[in-house]
Amino acid sequence: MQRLVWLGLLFICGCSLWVPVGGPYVSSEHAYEVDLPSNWRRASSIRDGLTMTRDGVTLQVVRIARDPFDKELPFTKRKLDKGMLPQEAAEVVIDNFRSNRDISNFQVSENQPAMVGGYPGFKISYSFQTKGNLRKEGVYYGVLVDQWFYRLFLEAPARHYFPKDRPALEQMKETFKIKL
Amino acid sequence: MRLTTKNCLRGVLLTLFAGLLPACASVSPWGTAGQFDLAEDERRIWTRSIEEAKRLDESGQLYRSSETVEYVNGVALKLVPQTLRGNGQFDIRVRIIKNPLLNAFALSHGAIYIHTGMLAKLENEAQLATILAHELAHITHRHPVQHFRTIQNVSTAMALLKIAALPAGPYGSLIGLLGAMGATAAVSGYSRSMESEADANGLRLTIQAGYDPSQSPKVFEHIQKELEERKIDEPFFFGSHPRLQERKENYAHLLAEEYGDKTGKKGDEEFAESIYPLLLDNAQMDMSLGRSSWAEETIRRAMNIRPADPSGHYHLGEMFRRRGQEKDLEQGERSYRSALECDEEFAPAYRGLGMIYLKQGKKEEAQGAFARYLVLSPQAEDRAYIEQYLPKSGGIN
Repeated sequence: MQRLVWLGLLFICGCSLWVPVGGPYVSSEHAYEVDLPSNWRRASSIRDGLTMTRDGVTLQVVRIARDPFDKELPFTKRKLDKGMLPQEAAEVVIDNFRSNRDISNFQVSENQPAMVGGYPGFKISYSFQTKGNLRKEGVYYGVLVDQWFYRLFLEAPARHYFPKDRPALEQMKETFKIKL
Repeated sequence: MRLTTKNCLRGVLLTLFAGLLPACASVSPWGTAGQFDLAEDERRIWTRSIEEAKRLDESGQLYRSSETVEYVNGVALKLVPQTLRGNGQFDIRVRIIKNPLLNAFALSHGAIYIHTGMLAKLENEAQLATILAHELAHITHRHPVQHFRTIQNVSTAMALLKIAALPAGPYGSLIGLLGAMGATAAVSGYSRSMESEADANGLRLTIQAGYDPSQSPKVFEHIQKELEERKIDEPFFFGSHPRLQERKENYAHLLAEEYGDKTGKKGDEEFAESIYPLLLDNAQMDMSLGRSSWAEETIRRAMNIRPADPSGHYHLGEMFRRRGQEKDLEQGERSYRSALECDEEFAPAYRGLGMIYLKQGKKEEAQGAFARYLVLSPQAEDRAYIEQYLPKSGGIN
């Protein structure tokens, strides 16, 4: 009985971590606004950016975040720099993916300039394999503005989920505006 | 039978004794006695090794430059003992892993792995033969099965704990791809006596293949010195200070005691020519690890091998541009210009120059360089980026 009560509590707490979204979203803390798709949920407990999913984070995850450009990236020792061209910033982000040994067969299928939040940035489309041999695809928009590095990306299993969810990310990117 | 303390103790002792039996069973090196015959546990080890090798092969982490891979395999084949050649049981094959950390390891069924970082630190073919022969000796002397018989009896849990406690992080976490076979071989190595046996037999194979044995201890001296100078601590066997010290001492002792009068081939030129592209590729990986001084040193070494090849100068320019320290833009510009002196149609150097000019605020020079880049490389993957910098698309703001 006691175990059931604990499980119930865990279930309730777990549910409350994910908040339904849809429509305009303004982050005054991170100085951007974006239209979010309906039927998605955001993680209310993650404060360093917006983390969203529709069916669960293992099936698709969208992140919108910003960090100071000189913050260390998790895998590469190379750093972003304020004076970098979008192409150079994209090189560093790709290097960061390549340096992540938790994934394998990382491949870039597209690396192009893109307007992100009203500023010249970059777009990278990529794929990789997880440790569990699951093939995932991602699309990543990034831009350096003042002292900030903004990024929006989607990662999802290549089969079914990525093609299905990509339009939602593209829609978010189109409405994404940096308000510095 | 009554269950008494004495009976229990006897049972435990009998169990322990029975468990120790396989570990004590003699394991003859392959090719020295009898038929090629795998015991049940060794067969399981081979099966797991083959699975781990398959996982590595499919991981996208293997270095595929055929020139270098063929050359390294050619050296390995010279080292294989006559008794094991063409017996159809072993597929001695060397794979190169794209990893700037210092390491080499072998799996029991004949797969030998060497990191690009290790190859980039070697100076000649005799030194490469030293590393490969050491790994080959682990295979021929069946160290994997001896090792696993021991740890099954002593404490498998301890070994697993050791593997789980490895430092992670970029490149170090290659270990995530390896199972127990590869992790043991790559990280902790085998017991001191098995490693010494691999040193002694490896050196014998190196000499039999006609290589200069005086190069063998130099490999470890050189690597140890570099790691110490840069205060670098790496997770793998060949990047570990105590293990390098052991190798250095063992090889020096063997030379002094047994092979003092032996000479042989060093193979400086063949080695340098064959690993030239790998040096440039590994330098990029060192940059990702923040080891720009190693990257610069490796690129300059490559430039000494082929001074008239624009690639070396271009990579040096890229290193300066990416590092972005004081005066790096000027040094980068000089390197790109040197690349163009080697070959005035070397397209990537124009792109590098264009990017440096952009940062220096020299818009016209940048546009000129970018335009030349696109003329020479009309199918460039980064064409869309470059076109942004040219006047017809609005130019540079």
